[in-house]
Amino acid sequence: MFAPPPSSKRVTSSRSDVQVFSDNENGSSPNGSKWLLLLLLGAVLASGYIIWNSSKKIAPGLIETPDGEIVLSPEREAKRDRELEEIDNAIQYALVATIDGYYPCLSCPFGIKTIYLYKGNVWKYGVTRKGEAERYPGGNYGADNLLFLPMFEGTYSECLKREKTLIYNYPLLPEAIERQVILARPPGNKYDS
Amino acid sequence: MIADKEQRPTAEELQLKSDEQTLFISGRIWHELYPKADPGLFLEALRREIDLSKYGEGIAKFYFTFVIMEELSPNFSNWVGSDYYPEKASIDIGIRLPYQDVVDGDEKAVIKLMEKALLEGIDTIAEHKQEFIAPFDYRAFKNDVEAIFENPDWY
Repeated sequence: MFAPPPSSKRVTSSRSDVQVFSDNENGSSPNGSKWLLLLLLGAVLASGYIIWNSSKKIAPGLIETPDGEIVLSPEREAKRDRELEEIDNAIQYALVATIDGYYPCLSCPFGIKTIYLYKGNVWKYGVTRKGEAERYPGGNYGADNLLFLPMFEGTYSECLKREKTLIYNYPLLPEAIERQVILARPPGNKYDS
Repeated sequence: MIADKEQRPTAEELQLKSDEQTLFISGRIWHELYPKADPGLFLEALRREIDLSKYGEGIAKFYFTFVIMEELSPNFSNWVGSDYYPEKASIDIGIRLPYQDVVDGDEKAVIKLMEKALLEGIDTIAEHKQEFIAPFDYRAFKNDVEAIFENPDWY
């Protein structure tokens, strides 16, 4: 039994929606067209590269005006202004307990991980230069049931100085001295800054 | 005080307890106005009286923030607004109170301002109803919160 030789003509299968081609319509070799296409593609790429290489390259965020002047894009200008404003408009805040209860303790010694705070007790001092992505960021304060109390508005540098002073002076607060274990920092401040 | 070890929950137990909570009432309040403006009163009353799951699964966590600041520079403007997060079925609402009214008002007047702000915040839930992952009856929620405030001794 021999299989019939492959036909060089167009063969249509018995299913009307499936067609099988062995050669192209006019009978020319597909390899010739393939090479021609490749050559054409190469030429296009090469000329594109030459044009790109000869023109001035501008980093993202910059634009060239019709007069040929290079300027910041409006988005980049807005970002700069926003960042400058953030440096001038910082807030030094305290996070205090909203209700009596246990809170995580990041500064407790002897492996203690939680601490009982009374309503209004300080959990953490911090500084922020911009609004968080979420207004109450689902516990991103570091614990639940905390209240954000802005204490000082000013430049970032001023706020950092205030924050540091408050963190270092925390053990002298009546609420800290009353405890049997006196913490060096507020419970939410793992470090001195 | 640092409580006795037997009484003190572990950090993991604390986290579990936090995960179970559905209502979060907080504030960004200029420090001189605390505790005159006290979100803790609202947090305790709502957690005592409201079962959020009763209104549907469209909102599993309700975050509300009272914002009481004399001025809010543009980089902090996003403290105010209303956002729904379908992936967590949570809503996050920040409502600004009139600063001078809080300064001038007595405790009762400030509580009234805060009640109004909270109800106003609940109204913003309607803006997100198209995004809800499941139904949520925000009108019933608001009615129940209003009912709490109708009792003059609620706090």
